[in-house]
Amino acid sequence: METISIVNIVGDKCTGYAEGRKIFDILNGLLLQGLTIVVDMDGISFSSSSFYNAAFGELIIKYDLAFLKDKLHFKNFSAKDRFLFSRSISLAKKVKEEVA
Amino acid sequence: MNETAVEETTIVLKFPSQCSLSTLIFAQSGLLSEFNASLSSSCKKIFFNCEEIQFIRPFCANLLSAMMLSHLKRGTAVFIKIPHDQSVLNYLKDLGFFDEFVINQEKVTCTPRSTSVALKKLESVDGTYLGNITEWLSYNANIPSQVAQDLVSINLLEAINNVFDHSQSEIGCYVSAQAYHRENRLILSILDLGIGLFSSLKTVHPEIKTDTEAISRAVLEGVSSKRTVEKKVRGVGLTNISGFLKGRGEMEIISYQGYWKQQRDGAIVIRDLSCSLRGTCVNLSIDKQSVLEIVDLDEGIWGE
Repeated sequence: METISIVNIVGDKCTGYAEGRKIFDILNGLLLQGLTIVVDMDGISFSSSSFYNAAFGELIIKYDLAFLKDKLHFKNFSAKDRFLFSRSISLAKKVKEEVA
Repeated sequence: MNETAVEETTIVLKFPSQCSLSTLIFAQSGLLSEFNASLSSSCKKIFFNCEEIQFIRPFCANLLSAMMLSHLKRGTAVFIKIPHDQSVLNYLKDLGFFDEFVINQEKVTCTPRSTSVALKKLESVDGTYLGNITEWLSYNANIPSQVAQDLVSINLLEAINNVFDHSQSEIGCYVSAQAYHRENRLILSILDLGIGLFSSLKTVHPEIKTDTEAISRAVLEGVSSKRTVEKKVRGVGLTNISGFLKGRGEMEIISYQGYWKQQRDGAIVIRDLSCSLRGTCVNLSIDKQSVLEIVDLDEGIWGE
């Protein structure tokens, strides 16, 4: 199991799409190896929907949801993180349906 | 900038005594249309006559600053007649308005107030500013630090990201905030002078015909020019603000001739305006008490 500390990769401000894209690339690499991942949000001050869209929404487009639920786990997810994450996932599901 | 006699090549923009959204947008003071006309004129000098202002909202302080800066960027000589009303003048001083512009080459003393955040021009998403405004919310609006951070992330950061992702505003954006303690309310105002939501969306959504329609669509989940062009997961920023503020406050968006408002109960009010506000303004009115319950947000993270 791999633990990914977001703050160690992009700092404490996950404000935009670019930061999210960095996280996507790392998670995508680990998922391709079939690894189980814990995403640790400890120390994050600010995060935006753009970050969640790029980091996690794009994973929904690429992978099966059941696979992601099995492989991706979250630690130190605040109420705000859940709020933003869940909305990015909701949009990503719609986009995936459109693309299919 | 300095005060001189008004000459023929000079345009004068007069601010009304009550400077609020309703007086400038709905009451057709003429200020907005005169400002829009001034941008396409070849005037060499422009006077912003603020002498009669007796009351000013954060939105209007943003607007005055943005108007002045856009003329400065065009090389126009910009002059201001400062308010006669001492309380308004002090408010603008304390808001840091005079720190944004050098006026009469005098150093103006700014005394930050506990009820307002200094007016700030942003040219990018500024992490330091997000930290400062979080600190202000925490200490002066008496909101726990974590809740203040969440409030800034879900509301302010989303609105600012929208400016830099879509508006193409030459001046970036102006942000101001005010706490109304007696009403237990916070106001955040973000203003850019960019292309507006209609211009941003119409190329990828040709079915959109008006500014009001563009705002209504922009607030819906997944509506974004970048999403359509890049086929990416984008376009939930305004949707998130709207979703968060249902039951917690009000949200107003004004873009050119479109006006859209979400009331506290989620009801939507839209209007086609007769005068045009260049760019986009997002005003957020947040019930302080209700955001203290933000920790109770209950979201199933995978949307089930």
